Amino acid sequence: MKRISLFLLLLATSLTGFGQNFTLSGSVKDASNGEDIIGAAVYVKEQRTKGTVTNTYGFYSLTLPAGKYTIECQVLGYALFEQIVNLDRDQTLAIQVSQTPTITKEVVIEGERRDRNVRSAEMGTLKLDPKAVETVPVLFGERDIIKIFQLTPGVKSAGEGNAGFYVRGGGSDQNLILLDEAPVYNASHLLGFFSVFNSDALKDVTLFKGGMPAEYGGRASSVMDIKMKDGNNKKFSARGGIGLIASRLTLEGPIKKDKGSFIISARRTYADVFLKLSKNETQRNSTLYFYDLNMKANYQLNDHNRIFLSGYFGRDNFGLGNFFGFDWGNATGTLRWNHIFNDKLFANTSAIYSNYNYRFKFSPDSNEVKFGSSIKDINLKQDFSFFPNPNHKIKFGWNTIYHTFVPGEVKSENQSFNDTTLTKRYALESGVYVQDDFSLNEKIQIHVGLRYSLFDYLGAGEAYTFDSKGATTSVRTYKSWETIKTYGGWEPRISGRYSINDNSSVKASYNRAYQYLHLLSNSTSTQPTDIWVPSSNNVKPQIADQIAAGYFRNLKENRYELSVEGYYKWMSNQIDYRDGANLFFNNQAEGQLVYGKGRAFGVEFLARKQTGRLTGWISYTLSRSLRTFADINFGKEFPSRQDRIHDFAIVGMYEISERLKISANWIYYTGSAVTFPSGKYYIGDITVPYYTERNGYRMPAYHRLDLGVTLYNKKRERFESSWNFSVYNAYARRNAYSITFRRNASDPNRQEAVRTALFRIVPSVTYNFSF
Amino acid sequence: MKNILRISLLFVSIALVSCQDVIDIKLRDADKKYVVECALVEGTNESRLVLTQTNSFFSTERNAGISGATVRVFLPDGSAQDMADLGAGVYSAQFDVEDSSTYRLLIEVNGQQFESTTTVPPHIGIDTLTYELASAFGSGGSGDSVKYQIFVDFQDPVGKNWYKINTVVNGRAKNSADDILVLDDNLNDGTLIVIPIFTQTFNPYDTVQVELQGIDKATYDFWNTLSQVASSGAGSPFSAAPANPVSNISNSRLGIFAGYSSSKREIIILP
Repeated sequence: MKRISLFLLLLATSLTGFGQNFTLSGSVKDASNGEDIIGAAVYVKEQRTKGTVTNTYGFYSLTLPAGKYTIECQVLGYALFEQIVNLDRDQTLAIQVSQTPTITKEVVIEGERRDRNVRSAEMGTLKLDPKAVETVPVLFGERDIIKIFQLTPGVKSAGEGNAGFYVRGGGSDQNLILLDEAPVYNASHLLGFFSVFNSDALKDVTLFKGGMPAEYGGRASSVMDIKMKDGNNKKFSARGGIGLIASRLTLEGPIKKDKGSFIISARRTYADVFLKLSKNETQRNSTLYFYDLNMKANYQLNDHNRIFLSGYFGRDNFGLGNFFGFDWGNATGTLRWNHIFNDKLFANTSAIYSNYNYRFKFSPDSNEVKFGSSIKDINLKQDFSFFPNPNHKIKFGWNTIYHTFVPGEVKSENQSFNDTTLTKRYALESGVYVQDDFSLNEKIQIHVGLRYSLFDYLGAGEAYTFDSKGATTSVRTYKSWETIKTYGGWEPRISGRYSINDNSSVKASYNRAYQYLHLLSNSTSTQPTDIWVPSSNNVKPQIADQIAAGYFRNLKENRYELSVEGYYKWMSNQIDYRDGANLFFNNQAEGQLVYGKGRAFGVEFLARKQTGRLTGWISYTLSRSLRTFADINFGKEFPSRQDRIHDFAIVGMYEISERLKISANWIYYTGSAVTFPSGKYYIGDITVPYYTERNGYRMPAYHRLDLGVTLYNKKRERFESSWNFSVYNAYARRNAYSITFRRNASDPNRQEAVRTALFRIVPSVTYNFSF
Repeated sequence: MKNILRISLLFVSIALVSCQDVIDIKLRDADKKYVVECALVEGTNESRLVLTQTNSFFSTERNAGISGATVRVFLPDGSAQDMADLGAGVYSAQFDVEDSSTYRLLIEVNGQQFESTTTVPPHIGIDTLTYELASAFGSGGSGDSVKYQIFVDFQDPVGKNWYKINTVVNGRAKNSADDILVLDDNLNDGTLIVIPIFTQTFNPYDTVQVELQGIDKATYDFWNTLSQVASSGAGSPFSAAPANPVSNISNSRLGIFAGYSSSKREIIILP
């Protein structure tokens, strides 16, 4: 703490000593619906380097010497805003920008200034506007922002059709996924085929693959920051869609015009409707569906205070007749209070709730047995943005999360089962940070941040110790709030940009991240039953250090963006499992874990075009991800599940006319590392595969072409609609989802390899409307 | 419980599967290693051991038995009993196997030594066998034919216990990898357990012999992990990461030296 205050003091002193300066501040909003615009560039026309960008809440602050200026505000996809300001005192300027009239002129991919690619100090960061990529063809026509990220460099899909993703060689549990600041613990529906995020409700999604700002903490690999829309504060509107798998409906409107608004967005699948048509009684009585509900409201109390309330609730339900039921889902809630202290200091205070649970019940006879497990967070957070002058953007804050883990509970009416509750576990995870984004001179921009995180594993509960083979050696009971184990650490984050000229720059970054929560998953894919556990007396926090460097260049007046980034990442205290580990309903599951280290490295290439009739990008990643565990693979380094050497994607969208858009993507990647047997033996009459190494084989290479056509119907007054047709896996390649081995039906001594392919050609159609 | 979960996940994954085909892939040939399999069953007076070696995965020849080994079993009273080499990798000895007893195994072959220990747990009897029409729990219910589910009732003693349930249907032992049914009592300690044989369903007029075996932790771990890698769901993304079944044989770590207590009952399913 002492070191942080010293750091702040140093910053403060370095900022003093300026002449007669005044501050212009305010917000940038979309003129049509009042949505705050994040990352809009606000600058002085005459001196383009004197500028800033709006924060998450659309707020900006620009301090300049007294004088007369032309203030410009530039947002891609919006008309340029220009106003002359006579800055002779501190003043506010509320900027409203209008969307460019025809979609042909500009296609929005980023709500950003166009040269952000080369100008900002950020690297390893990618931002997508859900609206801009809505024509990209996806599985079942179900728009999914996470699946679009999987087509960008350094981000890999966790499998065919899967919404899980790996960033720069890290596991899918190492991604911090925030929905309006609330962590989402299981971000997928239907065993991973769909993400829980309904694109209609989202405003802006940013993925930090590296160079993570200090304001974020808690996961080793990446941060995906998802912001929900605020709702239209000008007029009531609705939008929705009817698709093959699900239907969506979003309603938004003002609570009080220009003062407050709300948005409600819902989505539900209807596969179970078809089950009702089945002849089989069990299938008829079965359920299989998921739904999502996003809600948000905001209200401007006065010029200095604004409150936001947002929530998400989603659930998957799966049932077989009345003897088996299984459901799981997330619930999150965020209450936020924006306060503007003065034109240079902006604050946000949030209270956040997040809960993930799964339950299943079965009735071996008429008596029901119920199982359940959950993780619950209560989180308090405060962030301050401080704009001392145009050269500095300072942010500092703190947060603290109280985690409650319920690894397993059994409630039984059945005499064969005891009511049992596994030891509940508690932890307090806290962090303080300060970061500054500043320009040293015209050429050099630096983003520096420091985070200190602290983790307390707390009672009440029992803490076990284990020997090297995983057998329990001792147990100690702790009282409520008694500290069982404390971990903490400094997480420096720094990145810098050096401009070679107006349209090219080099950047470099280093960052360290701690991860105190771990996902236990004994299968090769993520499942709803995977459980989160805290760092404890046995499990140490995961630590990742990453260095990266890159070259960024824009061509033809920022119409083309090119970038090359290389990275190297070290990961310590990684977790794997003993052979035959039983993680399910086990109080001593920690005894089943083994610990090791990992490294990942790679080069990422991205070329993208964001404006004009043809937009899209080409992405190529060359990378490795390796792990070393003393207890696995005889201590030799082995490729992790995320290890895919080549990963290539091309995404193209072309606008034939105002009413017709076509799109296509092609994806190619090296098959994942996989464990296959290198021999066999028999136990009785059973053929048993003999394994000699972990992930010593490769799945066949994966490739696929998707096509899409979007037809916009003629606008009728306010009513707009479109048809989206898409084909997933257009040339019907049998990509191996899994390769398994079985005994030949006619010759019991002969084994054969069986390839399972999902989704050969999946055509789909979606109807979308808004009014 | 894990099995139930796995079955349900499998159901979903199968529902999504669009196609399967047999393909050619190349696998490496690992160095051959010894595999031991020996069962000591309560109430029997002849026990056999089979010694084999691993083979190429796609080989169509049955793995060769290894003769010429010295195989010795140490009985609970400390006396040693050598097993006779019957050829083709089969060894045999005659002694009474008793419950609540611990046995030790020592093998010497071509200069290598393998050791293991197992316990035959106390005898636990089956109280009753019952049956009822199968719901869609197993494979029953999905077709038009009538299937039955058998339930095994027994009293679980307080403390950790592990079980294996075997069936013989109309004189044929069900012993494929998908028939493996092992249980622990984590959720049922000390209760009167009523467990459905959820690995199978039965037809009307089937004569079913059910054997309830008490096993030790090592034997449970072996069968549990073996079913994970050898059963038909193995290798799918919903199953456990592939690894060799947990073995209690020193050095080779392949195979099992297992003691079983045994209780048998028979039932005829009358519709």
